[in-house]
This record gives sequence, structure tokens and C-alpha cells, in this order.
Amino acid sequence: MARQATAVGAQLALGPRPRRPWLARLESTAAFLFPILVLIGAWEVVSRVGLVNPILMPPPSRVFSETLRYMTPAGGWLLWHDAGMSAYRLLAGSVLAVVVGIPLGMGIGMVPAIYRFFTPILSILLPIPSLAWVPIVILWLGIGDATPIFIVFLSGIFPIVYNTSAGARSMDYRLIWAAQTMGARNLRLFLGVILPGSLGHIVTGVKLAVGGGWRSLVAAEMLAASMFGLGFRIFQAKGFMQIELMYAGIIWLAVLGFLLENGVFVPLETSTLRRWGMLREL
Amino acid sequence: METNAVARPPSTVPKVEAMGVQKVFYDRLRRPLVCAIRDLNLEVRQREFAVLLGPSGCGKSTFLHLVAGVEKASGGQLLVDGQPVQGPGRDRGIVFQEHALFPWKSVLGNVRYGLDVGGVPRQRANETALHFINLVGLTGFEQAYPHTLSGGMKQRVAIARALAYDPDLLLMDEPFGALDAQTRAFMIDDLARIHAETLKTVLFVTHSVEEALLLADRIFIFSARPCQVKKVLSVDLPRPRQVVDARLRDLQTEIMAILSPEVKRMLDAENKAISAAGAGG
Repeated sequence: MARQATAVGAQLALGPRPRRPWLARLESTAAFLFPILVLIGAWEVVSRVGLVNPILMPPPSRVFSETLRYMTPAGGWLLWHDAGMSAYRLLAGSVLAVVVGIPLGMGIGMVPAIYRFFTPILSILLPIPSLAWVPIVILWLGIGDATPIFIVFLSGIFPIVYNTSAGARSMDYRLIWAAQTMGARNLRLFLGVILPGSLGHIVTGVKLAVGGGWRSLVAAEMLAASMFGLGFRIFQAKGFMQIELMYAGIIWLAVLGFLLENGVFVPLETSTLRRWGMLREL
Repeated sequence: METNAVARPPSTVPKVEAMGVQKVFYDRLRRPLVCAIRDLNLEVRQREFAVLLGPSGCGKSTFLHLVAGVEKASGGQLLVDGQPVQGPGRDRGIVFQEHALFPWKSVLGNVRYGLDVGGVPRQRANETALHFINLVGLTGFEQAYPHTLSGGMKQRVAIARALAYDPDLLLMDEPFGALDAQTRAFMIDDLARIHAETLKTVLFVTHSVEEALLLADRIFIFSARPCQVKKVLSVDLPRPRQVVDARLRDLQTEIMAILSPEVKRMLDAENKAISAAGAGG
């Protein structure tokens, strides 16, 4: 490895002098933020000059100051409570979906009998939008945390099961054979070879599950949450014509969704799939 | 043989015996799809370097999988050390054409895997793994992940992995098939050396006549599918062997004469299948 590192160093020294990494990072961040700032600026102008109704589309500057107010004692820390509640429901529902979905997907991908039994069931359940279940689930579980959690679970289970079973089925069987000739059996073979070998698909499934769960959660909270939650907040604010608070909720949805992808899944992939060369760099 | 007579005493004890072995692949509705092997008989002796040579797709890899125990024979008897093969076991190690390393494990982790599974204490497993990494010339790359290595290096890791937990019988399925000519030449030399040093029985599948002649004690020439042993040839040339050796050239000509009609039969069968599929679709 050391030899490789020196070789790479020598090669770089021959080419143009590499720029400082923090500068490159700053540049790419700026390039990412620029279009977003342009959009916000345009919105500000359009709202200020009265091209749109400033009540329904308040200028971003006011939305931001209100957002900040709801993040401080003056606003009762409201948005933090909401975000915390939504995050808890998302996490609980997603964990449930992972705990049920990965073993089920593995079973479907590896055991023909399980595949034959569950495939028809999954194919008739799959086309049903998870939100269609909300009224029924409210009757089962009532207004409160349980219903949104169950809806997150429901929308997450399908992508996890499908991707996990695809991962198990498309796995390079020679890896399994190699492990078997080395004496690996049962749980050891499963945990040590089949599971990591399917990890690329599993991560994709969990990503889709959490992304889909995030969307369903907001809608479920609008219908079934008793207090707190970003979806609940947006819906509630409508009743009191707190337009800025509605926008504040939406901004938090965007920021949290973005952080979820870049703060959780990207590092997870970098430390596993990319490190092992199982995910191609783009 | 004289040069190796001391290091590798000849043996007449059979290691692998195939008697009337058959392998039929079925489709989803359990209808026979392909008869890969029909009535295969052969005997490989202990510590022998046996090469199975035949046209591509003739069923020789399938036979290797049967010996490894990862696939089941449809009929006949297949013995390893006099015992019928029942599933994979640690007495047999396998090396595939394209390495089949665990991408989530480092070189050391891959080579150590068989030892870990066997319950070898960590310290000793590490030492043994490092010894075999050194044997295949990869010292310094213990912590590297497979995807950062070249094709030849990956194949060396695969060989080290198959050797490390000390199986008696090494099964190699066209292990050098995906390598460039230069790398392949080095790897052939290495493998001949390793075989001489470790006293293992090797079953080596290839479609390269040259590889067969450089490595084999005996060559089993396979017919086109469904495969049978068409001829067994002893290669009594001293080692290390050279491609330019006149006797090796003679043997090559002899083998080509036996093999060519089989390759042609295989190609004809494939062409027929292609045109049948074309007419059908």
C-alpha cells in the first residue's frame, strides 16, 4: 500500500500543482448553492413588487425570520419539537421495515418455497399507495404516533423486500461456493457472505424505503398525528392562517431530507460499498 | 520427471475416481435441458497435477463443480479419497476463473477466511495467511481491498486463499483464463513451483493446450458435450518446462489433432442451436 501511495504522489507531482482541497470544496459548495440562491432571490423580488399575492407567497426574508423565531424560545422551540417528533416516527417506522423486510427479502431471494408463497401476496399489495391505508390504520391504531409509524413501515417494506431479494438472487454464487468449500455453513455463511454480498441492493432498498417513508410520513401526520410533527404543523398552521409557519415546515422538510441523504446514506455507502469497490464512482 | 522425483514422489493411490458420472441440467419444469456429462470415467492419483483439457463449454468445469461438491451428479459414482462426494468440504479448495474474492474483505481477510471458519486461533491464522500471501508474492498488499488490485494479483490472492486452509485437493477452474499472456506465463511458473512445494493434488481445468503441457503430469482430453474422456496423456517432460521445447511442441501437435474435431463438433452444435433459436424467434 505504501508503495502505491508513493507512486500516486510522484504522479501528481509531475502534473499541474494540485489545488488546496478546502478551496475545491468551497467551490463545489458555491456551485451547488448558487442556483438555489438565484431562485430564492427571484422569489423575494416577485413577492416584494407584488407580482404574486404576498400573503400567500410571503417573501423568503420574512419566511426565514419567522422560521428562526419558531426555532427559539419566542416561538416555543416549535419547529424543533416538530422535527424531533417526525424524525422519531420516521426512524421507528424505518427500523421496523428493515427488521421485517431484510429477513423476508432474504428468504424470498433464497428459498423457492418462500418465494412462491410471498410473490403473489406482494404483487397485489404493491400497487396500493400506502396512504390509502391511513383511514383504516387510524381505526386500528388511533390518532397518535402509532399510525404514522405504521404508514412509514408500510411504505418502506416493499422496496426493502424487493431489493433485498434481488440482491440475494443476483449475488455471485461463486462467492457462496468458495465459502462453502472453506467450510462455512448456515448462519456463518449467511451473515459473513450472503448478507454483505447483497449489501449493495439492501442499501438501495433502505434508501428508497426511508425516502418514501419520509413522504408518506408527512401526509400521515396531517391526517393522524395528535400533536407535533412537521406534517401536522403544516396542516395545523393552515387552520390559523400562519402562512409563514407553513413555509417554515416545508423548508425544514427539505433540509432534513437533504441531511438524511447526505449525512446518513452517503457516509454509510462511502464506508462500505465504495471502500470495497462494490459501487462505481461517478 | 527425474528432477522432481525427490520432491514429489510418484503415487498410485487414487485421489479422485469418477465411474460413469453423469450430469444433466433441468429447466424450471424439471425437463432435461442439457446433458453436460455422460458416462465420465477417470482416475486422478494422489499428488498428481491433472489437467482436464477440452473445448469451451464441454462440461469440464461442471465436472470440477461436482468434485467440489457444490453441484450434485445426476448419476454414477464420484469418489474423493475413496469416499463418495457429499457436498462441499474443507479437504477440497477451489479457484475460479475470475477470482471470486470477497470484495468486502481485505487481501488478508480473504486469505484468512478459511482459517477463521476452521476455528484457527487469530494469531496463528494471521501467521499462516501471511505465509501464503508471501508465497504468491503479495507481501505488502495485506490490507488492500480486491478491487484495488490487478487481475493477476487478484488471482494470486484467490490461489493463496484456496491454499491457506490446507486442503489436500486443489480444484482450479480456468484460473488463468482472464489474464494477459505475460501475467499468465508468470502465474504458470508460480503454480508449478507451488505445486512442487506443497505436495497437493491439483485438478486443473483449461482449454489452453500450452497451459496443459506446461503444468500437467497427465492430461485428460475431454470430448465435446456431453463430455467424456477421449484420451489420457502422460507428460514426462522435465521441469521447469519451456514452450519452445521440441518434445513439448510434438505433444502439442498430437493434442491438437485429437482436440480439433471436438472443438469443431462443439462449434457446429452451437451454430445449430443459434440458427434454431433464430428460426424459432
